[in-house]
Amino acid sequence: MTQELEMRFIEQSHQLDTSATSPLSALRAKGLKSFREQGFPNSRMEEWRTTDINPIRNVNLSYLHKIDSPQCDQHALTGAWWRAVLKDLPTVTSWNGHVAANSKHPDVPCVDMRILTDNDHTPATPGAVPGRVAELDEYPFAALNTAFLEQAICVTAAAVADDGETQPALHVAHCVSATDGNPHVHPRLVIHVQPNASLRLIESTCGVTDQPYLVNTVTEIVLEEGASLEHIRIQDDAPGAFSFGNIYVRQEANARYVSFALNMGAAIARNEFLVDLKGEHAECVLNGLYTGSRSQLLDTHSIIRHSVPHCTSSELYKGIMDGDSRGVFRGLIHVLPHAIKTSAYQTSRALLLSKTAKVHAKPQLLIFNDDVKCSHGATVGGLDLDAFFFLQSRGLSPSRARGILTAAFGGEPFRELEFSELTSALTDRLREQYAE
Amino acid sequence: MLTITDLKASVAGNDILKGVNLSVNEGDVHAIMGPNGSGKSTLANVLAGHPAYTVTSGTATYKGENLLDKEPHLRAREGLFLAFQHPVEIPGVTNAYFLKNALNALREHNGEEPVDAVEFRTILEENIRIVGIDNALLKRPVNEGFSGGEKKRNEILQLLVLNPALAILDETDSGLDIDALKIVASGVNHFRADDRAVVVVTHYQRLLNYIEPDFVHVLMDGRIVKSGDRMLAQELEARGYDWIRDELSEGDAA
Repeated sequence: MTQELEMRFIEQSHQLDTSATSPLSALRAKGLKSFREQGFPNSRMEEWRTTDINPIRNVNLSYLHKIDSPQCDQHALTGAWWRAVLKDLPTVTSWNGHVAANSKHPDVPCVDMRILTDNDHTPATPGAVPGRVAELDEYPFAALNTAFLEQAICVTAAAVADDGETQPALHVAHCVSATDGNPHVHPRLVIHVQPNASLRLIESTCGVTDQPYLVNTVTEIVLEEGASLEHIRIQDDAPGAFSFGNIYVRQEANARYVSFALNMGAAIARNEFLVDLKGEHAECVLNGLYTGSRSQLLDTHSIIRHSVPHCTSSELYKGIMDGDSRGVFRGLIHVLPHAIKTSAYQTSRALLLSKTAKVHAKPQLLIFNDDVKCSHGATVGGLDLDAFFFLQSRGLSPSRARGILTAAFGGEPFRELEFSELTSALTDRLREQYAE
Repeated sequence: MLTITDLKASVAGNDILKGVNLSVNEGDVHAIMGPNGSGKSTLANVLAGHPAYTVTSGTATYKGENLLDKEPHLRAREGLFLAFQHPVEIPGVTNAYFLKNALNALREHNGEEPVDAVEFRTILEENIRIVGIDNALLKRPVNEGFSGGEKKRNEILQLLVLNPALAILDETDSGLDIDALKIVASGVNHFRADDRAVVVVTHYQRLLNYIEPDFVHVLMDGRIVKSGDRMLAQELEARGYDWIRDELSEGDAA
């Protein structure tokens, strides 16, 4: 199904260098083929039934070929509350989908970061190349990202020499600045955590513009045996933005993946997680919070595939929805026949602060063996009125009480985050935001 | 301090209070007793401003002002405190954070500086000893996973920290064993002073062995039908409520 918008994207991707014979150009061809077959999703598709992306068709999106240092004022970004928490972390910033060739890479012990391009395609480790875990079929946005794959930020984390060293941390910021026009950008991040190594990764998307734009990230994560990754995603895109995140994770034995996703900006945003538990005793935690207002549409889709025995997954997603906003949560736990002794838990809770806000929650369990412990639960409701009255009966104003209770609700998915500065900044932010 | 006149109130369309009259002065301890469903908890909740209860007529004057017009948090800031029968759990809000914020809301209202961390700890430590609460409970979310007794002690801790002028205890004795009952009572007795008043709502006389009331009232079918001193409570304990009902119906017959 090819419509005008699809044609425009396909034409624009043709303008990329097709003569190159690099691994990236081969991937681009594959991505383009897949996108051409799929096109943009529509609401007749089961996975997109409650996520209408048609507003994208009304924006004249264009691809920015030039890899320039940003013209915009970087200080414009520093206002966001979460930036203050991250400001001292080693950071690599992509502007409009590209890391400037002249930008300085942060120096993080045990971490090798490279920008792979058509001209420079020497990975630090064989695992740190794009295309290893991303799936394109059924993922039209990942296919589109791949069709425009000119650059990949590839990170390899190696094990620290001794236990005394602290866990390395890295912030990858995807920023969009549209001084003119409506860019579509497709950042690619590849994370390879080597055996027994560990990394804290913060990935953020944001925009310095009032114009609509499309940011469409693909993050590929390979965790080798005993590796551990704390992956924090902050989506704080501009109000008119379309923001898509495609996150693919492969975990070998005893690997631990902990994801905290904060979805708060953009007009339409969707995160898609596909986690493959490939090695025994792998553990996966997918937690997140989405906070919507106006007519925002905030969507989280996740698939956790238990392929082998003795793996654990848990998922806690919360939504705070105000105005006419809409939340979508769909979580599939897929337990394959051999994956005995699987433990998988999933909880989705949403707080509706207005009569017109909506949440569609769709938990799904697909279990093909009898020897598992799995559960899921979903609730949608308003503020606990007894708790609300209790706080007021102790002298707290209704607005303060609302702020405290809403922050307590929304903070739960982040409570186990070891990055406590971020958790407390988030809680403070929620307390203020909802005390109105 | 508190004057209630012909107060009528309903909940979910059912008339519960059918004309309550009560006057509470500084220094007084009043006990309100009555059988189940007589309206005791309704009276306590109406005074605190619970939105589920609707006042249909009558007045309540507190410190010379119309109490019923005020929002719940303003009643609290002006010194009215309700110890809940079923203290609510608040996941994600630690006891210490909550208490400090509540205390500072009251102080701000009174034009006082907010307490800093050190002052607050001093206030807490002093009162924790009185109610015998484990220090660890302060770092836990409000009432979450607390035992019944811990929840009630936590209410009394709030009473002591927030230091109101009028404390209304709604069946604080329910579900307490004798040791917890004594601790709760000693907390209330510690609070008791010439410039403060206490209204104890209770089903049983037991608590009144430890908190000696100046006045005892019997609330029945939404009205205070009998008042007396603490001997009345003992009589109720010995004879139940039926004799009052009989007395009332004789009165009606006459």
